[in-house]
Amino acid sequence: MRKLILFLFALIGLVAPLHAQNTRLFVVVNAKNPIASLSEKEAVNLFLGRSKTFANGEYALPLDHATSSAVRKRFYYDLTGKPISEINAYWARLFFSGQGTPPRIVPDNEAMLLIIRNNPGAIGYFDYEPTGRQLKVVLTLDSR
Amino acid sequence: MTMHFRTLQALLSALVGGTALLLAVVASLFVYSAQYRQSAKESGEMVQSLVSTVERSAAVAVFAGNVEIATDVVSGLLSNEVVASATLKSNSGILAQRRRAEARAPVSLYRQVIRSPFQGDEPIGVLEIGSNADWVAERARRSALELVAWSFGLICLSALISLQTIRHLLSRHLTRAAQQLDEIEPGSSARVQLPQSLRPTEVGGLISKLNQLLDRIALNLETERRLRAGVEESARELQATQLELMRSEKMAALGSLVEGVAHQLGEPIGNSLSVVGTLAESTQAISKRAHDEIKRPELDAFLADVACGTDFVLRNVQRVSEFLHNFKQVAVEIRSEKPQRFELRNIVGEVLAAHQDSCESAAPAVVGDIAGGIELVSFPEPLKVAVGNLIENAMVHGLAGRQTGSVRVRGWRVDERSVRITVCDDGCGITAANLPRIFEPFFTTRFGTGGSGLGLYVVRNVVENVLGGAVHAESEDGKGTTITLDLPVQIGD
Ligand SMILES: Nc1ncnc2c1ncn2[C@@H]1O[C@H](COP(=O)(O)OP(=O)(O)O)[C@@H](O)[C@H]1O
Ligand SMILES: [Mg+2]
Repeated sequence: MRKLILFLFALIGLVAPLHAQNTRLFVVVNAKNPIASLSEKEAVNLFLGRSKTFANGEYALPLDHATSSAVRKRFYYDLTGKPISEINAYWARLFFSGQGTPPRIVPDNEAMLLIIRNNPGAIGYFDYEPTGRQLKVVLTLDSR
Repeated sequence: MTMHFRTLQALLSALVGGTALLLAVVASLFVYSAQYRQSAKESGEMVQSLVSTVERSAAVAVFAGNVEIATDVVSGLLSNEVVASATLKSNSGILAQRRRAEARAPVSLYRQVIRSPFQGDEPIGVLEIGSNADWVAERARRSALELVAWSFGLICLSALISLQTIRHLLSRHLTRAAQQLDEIEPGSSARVQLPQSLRPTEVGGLISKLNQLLDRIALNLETERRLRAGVEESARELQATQLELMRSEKMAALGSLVEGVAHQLGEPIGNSLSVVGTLAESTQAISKRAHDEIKRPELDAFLADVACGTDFVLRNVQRVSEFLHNFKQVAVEIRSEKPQRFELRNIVGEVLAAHQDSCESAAPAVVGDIAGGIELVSFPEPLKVAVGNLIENAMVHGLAGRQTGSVRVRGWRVDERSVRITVCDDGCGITAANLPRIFEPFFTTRFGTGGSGLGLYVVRNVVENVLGGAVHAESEDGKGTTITLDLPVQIGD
């Protein structure tokens, strides 16, 4: 019986982090970036092209996941509360005006991690908390 | 200012037209102001709906600080006539601004706060839209004009229809009735025609009243005609009776004249005849004796007879001659001579003097009391005859056999055109029975003792027929008599 209860606990302990990984999103920058944290508003401004720089004046390079990826959909929904279609429409509008550039799209998490490690202005997001010395999580988004 | 209209229709047209115009003007003012308000309200709603359509784009433009989209938004707004100006501002400054070149100051300014499309309700900018005052006014004017044109047209149309109806129902019939009335002779049996359809209307009432009036007029005229005929008839009858009366009166007068004349002349002439007959016999007898010898006593007796007889005959013939003199005066008439101008006092004075000469000094005095300065244009001789006769009557009848008493002849002017002469005595007077008869010819109370009964008849004749006046007598038995002559100052007046 004790074994059974321990097993169940172990199972919960095993499943819980997995589950936690799925419900939260992490905005990540290069560890050399001087900012310690980012507000949601600052994140919106950076990812939707309103701000081109960080608070300290450093030039920002926002990175995005593939257009149709689930994580992208989740990210923008959690950040702005808007469906992805609206975000796409927004960019389309800006695109046709010939001004404004949407975040650069990277094929997968590895590529995004690579760019962040090598680029002090880069900023990206993940559906898990990436680890590594060159990386720094500046904002954690709870799912709405 | 008063205007005159020849026809009912013209009057009505003017009235209706004027009213329509006034109504249209008032309506246009009213509609314009209502429409202006309505239009301003609508413009607000239109701006509101425009705002909601561009809100997203504006939000994107402000969020991204995108001038191109901002410009797009404001020019898009300005392509609507209702918008006079549009400005899109972000928190840091104006992104885009456009204003209609010809626009006046906007009626009102709408401010729409632009909120971030991604960060909840955070305000990030403002969209300001001024609505187009000219457009609002123009729209109001247009719709007011349209409405007024319609209503004016409708009023005019209905006025035209009602005018036509009135003309059809009223003017036409009234004109025709007037025409017919014009042709109808008063009193004739013709009447104004009344169409069946009009019978219950006011026009029908008027026409039937007119016809009733014509009926009454005809009735009155007929009555009057009958009355006149009756009057004429009775006048004719009266005239005939009068003529008849006159004829019989004349005959009576002639009869009494003949009788009177025969009476007056018969006695003296009869007397004279018998005396002359006796004288002739005596003369014959004495002339037979003349061949023999005539004895002195016989001759003396004959001479005495002749003297007595001739004296008797002479007196009788004198009486006849006197009567004839009086009788001639009866026939006195207006002579061919012209009227003369004379002083009344002088003429009466002459009569009094002549009278004084002819009677004894013991007789009662005749006093003349004539106002001076009364000038008559008349016939003096007939006037003298009349006054003389009246004085004589007063002496002969009124004061007969009296030692005292007086006769007074008075004369004065009554007015501009007439004088009055009275001969007044305080003698015996005339009995009430005789008073109405004294002017009749041959009426006398002294028959056989010199009265011919022609004196007052002559007076009346002269006064009425020659002098153009009137005479009347007043008397009270025992207290005297007054005979009054009223004469015109100017003969023929
Ligand atoms: N002044 C008088 N006083 C009284 N009787 C008068 C007077 N005048 C006239 N009469 C009466 O009127 C009568 C008619 O008068 P008149 O015609 O002169 O006729 P005559 O004098 O011949 O009688 C007289 O007979 C007399 O009776
Ligand atoms: Mg006499």
